[in-house]
Order: sequence, then C-alpha cells, then structure tokens
Amino acid sequence: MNCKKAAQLIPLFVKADLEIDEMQPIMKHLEACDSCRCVAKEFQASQSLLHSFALPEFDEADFFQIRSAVLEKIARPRISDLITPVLNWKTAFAASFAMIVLSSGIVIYQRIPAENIVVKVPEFSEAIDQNTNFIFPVSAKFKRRPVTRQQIPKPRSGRNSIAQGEASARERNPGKDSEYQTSPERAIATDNAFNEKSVAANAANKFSTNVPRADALGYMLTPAPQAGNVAENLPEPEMLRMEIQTADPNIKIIWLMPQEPTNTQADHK
Amino acid sequence: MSSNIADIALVMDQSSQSSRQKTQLDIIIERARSGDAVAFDQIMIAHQQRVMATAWRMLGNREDARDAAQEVFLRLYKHLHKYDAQQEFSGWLYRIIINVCRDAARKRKNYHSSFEAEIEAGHLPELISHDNSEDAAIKVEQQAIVIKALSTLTEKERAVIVLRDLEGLTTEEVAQILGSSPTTVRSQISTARTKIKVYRDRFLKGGQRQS
Repeated sequence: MNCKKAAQLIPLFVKADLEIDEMQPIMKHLEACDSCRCVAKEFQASQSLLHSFALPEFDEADFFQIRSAVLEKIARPRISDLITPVLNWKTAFAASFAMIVLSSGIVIYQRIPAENIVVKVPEFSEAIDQNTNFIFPVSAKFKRRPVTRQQIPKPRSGRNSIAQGEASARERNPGKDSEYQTSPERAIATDNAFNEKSVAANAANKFSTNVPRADALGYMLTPAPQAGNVAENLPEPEMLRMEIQTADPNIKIIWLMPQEPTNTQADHK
Repeated sequence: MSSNIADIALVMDQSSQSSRQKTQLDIIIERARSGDAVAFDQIMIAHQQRVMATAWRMLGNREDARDAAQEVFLRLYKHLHKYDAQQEFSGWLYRIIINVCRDAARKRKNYHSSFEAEIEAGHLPELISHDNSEDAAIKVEQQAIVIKALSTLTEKERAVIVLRDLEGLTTEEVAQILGSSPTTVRSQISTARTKIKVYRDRFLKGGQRQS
C-alpha cells in the first residue's frame, strides 16, 4: 500500500470503519510510514475534538413544553393532518387525470355540431318522418368508393330500381363490377320499397319521360313525379327525402323513397 | 472456563433484558397506536433526550431543535401504524428525526449563522459556565471550532457525522437510516472527517500565526 491509498483510508481507519481485509494493510503501512502515522494522529485529534462537542442543557421544562404541545395537537388534529392522508400523490394524480379526461371530453362534445350527432336507423324500411335529415359519420355500411359521373348509368326510362340500375352499369362496364355493387340488404330493402310503395306509377310507366337521378353512390332512384306526367286521377306520391352527410364534406348521400301510400292511393290501386 | 460461562450468562442476560424491553416497548407502542395518550407520552419521555440532542446537532439551534422535536413526535404519532415491530424502533425514530431536520434546514438554509446566534444567545454549555479558568476558555474555543467545522459540511455529511461520530451508530445502521448503501456512507464519512480535520488544522495554524 502506498501513501496515496493510505490517505484515502485513514479517515475511516480512525474509527474502524474499514472492511476487515483493508485494516491489516493500512496498519502495516502506518507502522512503516511516519508521515501517514502523523496524519492518522491528526484525524484522531479532530475526532476527540468532535467528541468534546457538548450538548446544551435541556431542562425538563423544555421537554414538558414539547410533550404538552404534541399531546394537545394530537387531541385536536390540524386540518392539514386530516387532509394529508386523503391528498397523497396517488390521489392527487388520479384526480388530476380524471379532471383532464373530463375537461377534454366536454371540449370535444362542445365542438361537435348538433347535426353531426349520430342517429341510428334500425331499418331502412321503417317509417321515417318526411323531410328528416340524417347526417352520419362514415360507417362501415357506407364505406364505398363514390362513383364518378362517367360511371353512373345513363338515365333511361323504366329504370326505376337500384337492381336495374346496377345491372345496366355492369353491362356497360363488365370489369368494374365491384364499383356498382351495393350491399344486398340495402338493395333489396330499397327495391322492395320501390316495388311496393311506388304504387302503380312505375308499372304504368307514368314517369317514363322523367329523368332519373343518381345519388353519389350510383343508385338509380326514381325521381319525384312531376305534375304534368302524372295521371290526373292519381294522387302524387309523396317522396321521403333523406340526406346523409358523410365524414367527407364533399360527399352527401341523398336518399329518396316513396312514403307509405295513403288510403286514397290504396283506393286508386 | 468459568469466565467463559460467566460471559455467556451475561450475554444471555443482556439479550433477555433487551428482548424484555422490546416487548414492553411493543406493548406501549400498541397502546399508543390505539390512541392511548398516556402510552404515547411514555414513548416521548423515553426518547426526548435523544430527539432533542440529534435535532440540535443537526440544526445547531435550540429553538429550531425544539420545533423539530415537536414535529418529530407528531410525525411519530401519525406514522406509528406503519412501524414494523421487527425493525429497530430507535433506527426508525432516527430516520424521522433526520427527515424532519432536513426539512427544517431547507427552510432555514443557514447552519453557521444559527450556531453563531446560539453562541450569542449564550446557550452553549461552556459559555454559560461561570468558571473563568483557562480550561473553560479552551473548551469554548474547541466548541467554536467544532461548530464552524460542522457548518462547512453539507447536509448529508452532517447527518452521517452526527449519526456515526456523535450518536455512535454503526456504518450499517447509518446507511439503513439514511436509505443509502454502506459504501456511500463510508465515502461521506471520509469526506466529512477530512473537512473537519482541515478546518481544525487551518484554525490551529491561524492561532499559531497570531501568537
């Protein structure tokens, strides 16, 4: 052991704070080295100086005062003592997290316009109030690529059902079948609605001169009858117009379907 | 041979006495936990001297030590339910004392001026002595050296010196109280002792130069 290493260990050696395996080499070194032995003596002197550091006299009155104050405070706990067990770090973190979630939820809710609130329509065939606008976010049901103008089948007379419109589109564009596919449920539901509820007007080609309209999805929809083309003895069927705003502001689904025939219409049938 | 037997008997007696005391302490603590103020007062009486002495050595001021002692006992009462009977009560108490003193020191941040104020107030034992002999003067001087040397230490160094050199705990006990490793504590002890020695040397050299 050299003097440099010994100088590091001497402060601990004076009160035997060294490990057992370190004690023997330092003792041997101190026996041999006068300067290190002198340093060790100085450390011992400073230790004895430290031990001479006497405490002030604390009288019993001091202690009694402290104990009385403590017992009094125990008997009447401070408000902070009552709150502290509840307001620890965990509860504070949980409370702040809940506040953040709640406030962000309120902010998000306030930012959604009232018309964007999703209304779930259980079945398309169900009676829906006229002029009701439904604005949906894009759901899986409506996730279809919109058909361009070129792909929309040209309006022809007599094409008054979705199935017919699709069939026509497939004929003209055999390679792009998928673009004209509708969900079967929807096509059937809509066709049924047309077949059953468009009354005799379609069968008699009452609207043969009318121009059929196509919505953004390419569905052929029978337009509302124009007054001049309808037989005077038949009442004008009322069309139910339903608009669906997708998440894309450029895409709006407009849905027209005839309303339930009134008694008068049934009579005419 | 007979001396060996006597030693063993003494050790056994000491250990049984210690365990008996521990059991008594456990009973008192149990009573205090259930809200018995008398039992808690007994705990305070048993440890008040140690609490005050450690607090005074850590803070260097009687008033602060008194406030710290009060806070220590309040914390002790508050966390008494957390005390594990398997561990040493005095070690647990020391930990509370050190934490309270650290908090107090952070609020005040000046150990040196605190001791100076204490000297001026005449609270140090040697200063209030009416003995005007040379020995008394030397003791006063020694006290001043120690006070000033302690004021050069950091908070952690002062804590290890107070616990190891003044309270006489082992390095392992100090490490347990301060929540550090024995190696760290040894390093802090070494640094602190070196600082005290350097201060003492400088003081003595200055005194020799003056004389």
